[in-house]
Amino acid sequence: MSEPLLEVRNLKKYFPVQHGMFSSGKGFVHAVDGVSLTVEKGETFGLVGESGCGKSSLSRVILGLVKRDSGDILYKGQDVRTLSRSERAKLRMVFQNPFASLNPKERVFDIIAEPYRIAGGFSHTQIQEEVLKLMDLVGLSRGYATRYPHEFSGGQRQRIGIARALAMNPEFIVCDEPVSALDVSIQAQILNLLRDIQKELGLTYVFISHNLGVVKYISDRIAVMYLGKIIEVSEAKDLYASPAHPYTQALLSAIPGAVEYLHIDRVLLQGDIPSPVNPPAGCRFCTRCPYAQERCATVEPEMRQVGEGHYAACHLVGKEAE
Amino acid sequence: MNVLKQCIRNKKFLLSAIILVPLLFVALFGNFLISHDPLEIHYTQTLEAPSAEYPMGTDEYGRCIACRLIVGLQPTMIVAFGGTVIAMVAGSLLGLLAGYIKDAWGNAIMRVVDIILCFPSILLAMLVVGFWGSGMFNLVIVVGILYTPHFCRIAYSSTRKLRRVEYVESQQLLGASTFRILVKTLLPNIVSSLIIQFSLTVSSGILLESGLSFLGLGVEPPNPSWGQMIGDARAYIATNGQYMFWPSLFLCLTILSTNLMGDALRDVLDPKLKKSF
Repeated sequence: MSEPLLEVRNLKKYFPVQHGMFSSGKGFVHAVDGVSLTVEKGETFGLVGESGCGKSSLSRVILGLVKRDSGDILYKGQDVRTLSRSERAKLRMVFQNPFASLNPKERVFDIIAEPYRIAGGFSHTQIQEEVLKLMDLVGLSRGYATRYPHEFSGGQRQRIGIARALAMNPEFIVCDEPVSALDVSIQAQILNLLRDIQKELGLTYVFISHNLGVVKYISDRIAVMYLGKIIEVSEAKDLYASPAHPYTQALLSAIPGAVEYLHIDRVLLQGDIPSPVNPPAGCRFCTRCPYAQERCATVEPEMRQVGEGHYAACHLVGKEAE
Repeated sequence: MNVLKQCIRNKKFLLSAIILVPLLFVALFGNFLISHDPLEIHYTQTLEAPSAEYPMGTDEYGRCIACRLIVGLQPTMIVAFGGTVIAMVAGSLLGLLAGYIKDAWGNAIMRVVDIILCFPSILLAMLVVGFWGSGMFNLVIVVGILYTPHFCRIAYSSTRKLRRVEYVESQQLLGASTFRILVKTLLPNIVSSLIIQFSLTVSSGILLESGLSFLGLGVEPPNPSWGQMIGDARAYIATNGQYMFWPSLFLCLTILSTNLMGDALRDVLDPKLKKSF
């Protein structure tokens, strides 16, 4: 089965920070700092990390909404920038905030029909048929087609957003924290909807979240991000059973009940996340790591294999660790 | 339809509509409402007090003041509305573009707009009239250029707020053209603030045209306009006050009601601002 759909190699995106008109110093936020990952066809690739670690920037760079500084993004082996318009339209996104992702001045029908209208070449009856089909698929009553977004709850809005993302038979969808703005009771519905649709249409997801429970539920493989870098990648089960990187361990132990159910020790981190304008040299995590050694502060750790399909960027784990 | 209902319920809107609707009617059909030729001179009937024949009296050439007021509204309204429409279209498009692309070109547009804003409006208008002569067409263009910055800045700041909103990103992702994003996605979301500005700008336009006509740079005599009538009446203010009174009164009412209309529209279209009266 494993055939890479999306390959990202050493991707970098720095955002300039201006201090003021007359100051000479100019810094950069290292939002995405050398990220490599592979997403296979049909899988759900989870991406977790705390707020501000670059998850959303990474997704926007992959989709071309933000220009990359360097690195390669290959979709089916082809640079995404050289994809044709119709190929490009196979890459979609479900947005985080359902209150900002729908144009408040358009009716539901027009919102879902927009991809067809932009692509052009569809008759009105064709569009109508497709839109109603999509509304059925995501569980929206057909009678809602003529309503405006403000008449809906968050969960229903997210369904509208998902319907729009599914228009024109996409293959690859980035879900950028699609449930974090929703009530807990609605989250499960939307997650199940995403999963059912994936099975039905054979989609590939990159699923971004800061909620470890949500990511575990939906993902096949998971990558953990910290300060613009991916520090651990693994099959979902392995990651939760045997987290290798100290940051992942700390993250997992912070899940309520994790100490009891996952049988891991609670790791309490000290201090704050360092500024992404001035990330630490060496290992990004060394300022807060309970096991930090001298080399951690100077030498940047490479990704190392710690198990089958399980990689972590830490000097203290893997084959070469003493 | 909800907006219309709210407008009708708004007292300021009703009051201004009661004044503005007849005024617009007069501006459109004034030529059919008059009983005297507004240009016809009667040397025997100069500066008369109001009478049955001349309800507002006569001016220094014996012309009917009421008729001249009715006919004089049209050029003022054409200049104010025509100029404001030009300003709104040009300003909104430039502002949208500058706010959305926000690179060197966007900056260039905004700096040019700032330069236009630096000129005192009446001075710039006098310059243009001085170079190219007065006349309706020139005045419309002058008002258009002068008030483009107002719309441009409003469109620019509203667009800046929205350009990174997720529904715009969604359009970018789908490969929508810049024009489509600007006109179909962004414009409907900023149009209410532009409508508010429209009615406020119309009243400035009326005032500007009247000012120019007052100075003798607007509508060419003997054709009447309100500002010009006020200017002419200045010489007779001590002996015949009512000559000055009528055009001033109607100019006041017009400006007041267009401003009120703007306020009312703001109350209705921008509910975030609390009502203040």
